[in-house]
Amino acid sequence: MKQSNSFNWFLLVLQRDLIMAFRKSATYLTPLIFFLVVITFFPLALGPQQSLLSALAPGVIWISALLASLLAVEGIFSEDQRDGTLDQYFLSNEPAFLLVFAKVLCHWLVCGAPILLASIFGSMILYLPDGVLIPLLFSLFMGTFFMSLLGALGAALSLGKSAILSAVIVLPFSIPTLLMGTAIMASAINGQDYSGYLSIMGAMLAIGIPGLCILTVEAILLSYE
Amino acid sequence: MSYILKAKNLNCSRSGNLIFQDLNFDIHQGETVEVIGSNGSGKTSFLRLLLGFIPEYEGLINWSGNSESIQVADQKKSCFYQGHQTGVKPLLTVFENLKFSSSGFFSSTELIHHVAEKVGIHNYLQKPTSVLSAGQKKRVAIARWLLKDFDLYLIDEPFTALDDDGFELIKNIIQELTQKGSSFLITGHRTSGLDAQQLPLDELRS
Repeated sequence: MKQSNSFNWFLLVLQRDLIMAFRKSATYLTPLIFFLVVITFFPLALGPQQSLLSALAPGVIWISALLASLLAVEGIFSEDQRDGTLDQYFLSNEPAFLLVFAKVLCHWLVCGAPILLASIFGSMILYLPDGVLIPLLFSLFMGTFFMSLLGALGAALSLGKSAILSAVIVLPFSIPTLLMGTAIMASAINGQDYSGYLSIMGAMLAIGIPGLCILTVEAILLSYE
Repeated sequence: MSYILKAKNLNCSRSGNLIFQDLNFDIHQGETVEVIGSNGSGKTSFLRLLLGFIPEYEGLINWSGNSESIQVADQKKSCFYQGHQTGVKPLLTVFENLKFSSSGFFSSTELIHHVAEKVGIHNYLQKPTSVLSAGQKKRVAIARWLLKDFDLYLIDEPFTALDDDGFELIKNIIQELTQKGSSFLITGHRTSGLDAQQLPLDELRS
């Protein structure tokens, strides 16, 4: 009974945040347009040589995706804190990490998922080598989700402080994800087996989801002191 | 008689400023306590301290029990806190705000309509809350008191931004809910005329 109540509450937070995110088009359009603009800048700046672009494509797509997925991140908790909703959440006796996970999932659906789709377009204009689109999508899926988790932690740590701070906190911690992602891409392009790297990334995510959610709860509690 | 919330010898100072000292109070089931104080007298700090949002205090806070133990009792009663920021979302319609404050998917539309009619917001249920006036938003916040039963309502300045009708409305709602067994801890600048225990904060700062 208690469990189903908490799950119901989780869906409630998720549904409410999704409705609000899609009522305000800036939340989902800004990361998407930022990603597309950065991706299209590269052929413009480097010239249309297929070999050069093709070699740079995985790295460019990965870095653009990581940066874009940080764009809407500082608003994850600050809005709720400003209008008093966060206080009410913490008094509701529901587990707070479910709240954080709902927020992270909402951020990924609004921000990460569109980027994932747009990276298919990006792979076309950057001449991504044939046959590596699937590993790119798999690794980006996990990478952007991990960025949403890290972003939530950064947003919680910078609650009540300047918005850009969360990006500065989070970016150094995204290095392992970036390394794994580019390792997957390099192996796929060379025709090697990349499943090992994928497993490591999956493991990072498996630890990151509970671990970072709990850390984020603690970070929010810190902001009350 | 068992109390819902009890505070003993409560001292609070934040960043060197004494906010109140030697505050004693208790609140029982069905009771209303009014915290009266001028601007900056620490009414909000007092509510937030009781809820555990402010860790800098000395003294005892006990939830529901008879013991004098220092530890906060496990069976912390369900409470509803409404600060100056009421948590009403401007991007959602009035109906959605009420729906997400009750039980979401399982919330009864009938209850929401009934409650909205009671506080006089049923004509704009489908309007986004951002287009409402300050008083109307306050009424949306008040409607949420009636959606679920709570043991204790901690309401920071419920009477601001409301017209005379709204003033009477809140008084009636508080009376109705306390008769059902809920307790109210409200703040204000002057007494509201409710049948309530008064807690003047200004006198505690000598």
